[in-house]
Amino acid sequence: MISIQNVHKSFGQLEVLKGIDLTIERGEVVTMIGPSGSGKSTLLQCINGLETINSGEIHVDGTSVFAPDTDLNKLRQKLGIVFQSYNAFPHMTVQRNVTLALRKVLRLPRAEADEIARRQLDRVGLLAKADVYPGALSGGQQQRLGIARALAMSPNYMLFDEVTSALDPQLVGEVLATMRDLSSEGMTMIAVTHEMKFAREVADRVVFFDKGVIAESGNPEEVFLSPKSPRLKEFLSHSQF
Amino acid sequence: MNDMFSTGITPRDYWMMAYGAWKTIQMTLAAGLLATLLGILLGLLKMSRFAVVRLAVDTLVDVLRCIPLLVQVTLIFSGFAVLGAPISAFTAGTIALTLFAGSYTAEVVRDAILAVPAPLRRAARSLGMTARQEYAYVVLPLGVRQAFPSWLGLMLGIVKDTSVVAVIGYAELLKATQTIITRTQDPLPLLTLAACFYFVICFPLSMVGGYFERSLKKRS
Amino acid sequence: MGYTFQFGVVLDALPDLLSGAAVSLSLAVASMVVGMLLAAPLAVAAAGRNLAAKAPARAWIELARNTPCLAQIYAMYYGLGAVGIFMPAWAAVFLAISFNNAGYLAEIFRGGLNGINANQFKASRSLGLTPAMAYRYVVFPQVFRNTYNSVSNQFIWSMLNTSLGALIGLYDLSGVAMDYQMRTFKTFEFFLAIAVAYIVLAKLIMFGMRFLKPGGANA
Repeated sequence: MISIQNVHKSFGQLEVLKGIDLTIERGEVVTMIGPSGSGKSTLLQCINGLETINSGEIHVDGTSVFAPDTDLNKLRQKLGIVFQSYNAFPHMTVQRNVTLALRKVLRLPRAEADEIARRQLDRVGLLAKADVYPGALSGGQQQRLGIARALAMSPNYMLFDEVTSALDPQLVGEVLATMRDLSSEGMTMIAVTHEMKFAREVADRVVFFDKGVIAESGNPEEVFLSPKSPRLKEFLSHSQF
Repeated sequence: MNDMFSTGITPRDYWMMAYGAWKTIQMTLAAGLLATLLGILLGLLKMSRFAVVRLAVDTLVDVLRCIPLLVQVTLIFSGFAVLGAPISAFTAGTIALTLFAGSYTAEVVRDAILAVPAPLRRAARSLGMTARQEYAYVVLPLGVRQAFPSWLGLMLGIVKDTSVVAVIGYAELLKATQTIITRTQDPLPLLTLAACFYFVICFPLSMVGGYFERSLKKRS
Repeated sequence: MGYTFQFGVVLDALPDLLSGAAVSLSLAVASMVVGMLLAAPLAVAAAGRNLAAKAPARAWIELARNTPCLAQIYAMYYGLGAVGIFMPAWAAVFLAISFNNAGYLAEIFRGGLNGINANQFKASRSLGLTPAMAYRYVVFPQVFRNTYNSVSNQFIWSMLNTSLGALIGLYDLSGVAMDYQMRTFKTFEFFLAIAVAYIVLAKLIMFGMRFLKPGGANA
């Protein structure tokens, strides 16, 4: 379980998170929607300690993310994250991208790491590209590599940070398909997304962010079909779903 | 003289180092000026229409960059002597530094000219400028901006490289320092002082350079 | 006029010249390896915000780049001698040029670090890599690829710089030439010969670096 309690965060003068409370149960799929700059991505990066917070608490499976004695490197193994900018390591082959953390963090023997990598690459449909460098992949393929790389660590949670926003429209589908597969396999997922159709289809719960607060949340039907707040109504009127 | 004090550092020694610093400055000025002129010439020749010219310049630059300055200085000094026309250590050092720094300046000049956008140059020609006017009014002003930081770095390099000319007996700053060290056996304060002298020579150059760079930026 | 060039004496000195060349090359290689190992943490410290690490790193880089390499060799040889640490010429040259290389390479790497997307570091950390691991396996391999040409140039520089060791009695190529010049007075011949030898060494380094160039696509 991930529990977020009264989280505040500022970048200098700008307060981007103004008291966020949110709980995500194991097996749940939560999608976060909202205008750019509303704080969704920042919150996601706070969950695995890539960004710090000013006040509040975040617990992952009972471990406080920002407690001084927390081993963040250990905690991060439970939390896979995939970024908007694919962040493939350009100097390593696709397979090495996946095995790096298995070998160096989990200290698995090479054969075992390779085995896991190939299984995960197969899962996202990239096994044929195992030996090429990321530079030779399309954006969609690089993003699926990002997913495989995170999955290889057998995380309990997968965080997706606007993973399709940088993609050409025709490449969005393959990445969303991979994510759909994951959700149907029972993976706990938090996805920040601008794909409203996807947000509605896969989610158990949809959370609408606006100006640093959670303005509305609920099951997809509630949120998309009978929005309560005027801001959400306005936001949805600009999106297609 | 009292034996106790004759091994200590005397005021005379400070003067000797200051004089050494002056000789460093003299050679830097002479070699800096000549290396800049040589660099511009070689840089333009590097872009010559004739492949033979380009090849000749590239070979010369390549060779100059692959031989230690110490060896170049010694070769020039002894070479002139062997030819029966001995030159002073100052002249030999200046020639060697000019060639050495000039070969690097050539690269800077070439890169600066290439950095001027081709459409801009075509625009100049389309206004009816001659090739010479194009260089004078477009390539040169823009190229100088581009080249200035690297060029300044090369000039600061010359300050340090003058120390190598000590090998043929030119008593510049470091040679003077080393001579005093040999006598007094007290290297730490002397080497520190020498470093301070180098700093005092280089710092104003960097400051003037930084100021010039900023004012160029402001105007562009 | 009437000078006759005598390259015979140079041929007689060939064994010494060859061993001198070996000294020059091995010192260049060793100081380059050590220089790179030192430059990586220096570059990170100099680019960072931690003042306790940044200040000494900047001081090292500035001192290495703004004082003559010969002065650095003197500092190791005479300067450390003054505090009771005596070492042979080769050790002083090795330490001084390693110090020098570290300063120049740190500045090169610092530029390279600026060119690496901060997200690469973030992505590494998200997989559970420690900062040291992220630098070691993700960031620096890329920095090294992107700065490869500058690093190669620095390698040549460090080889040329070893010649300064001759001034404290190092028996490298230049040291051998100086030794024979004093005995035979054939300065020009000997220095012409080692000039050629240095060119060969420099070409060897260039060739070696081209051969060692890491594969893989750049960002």
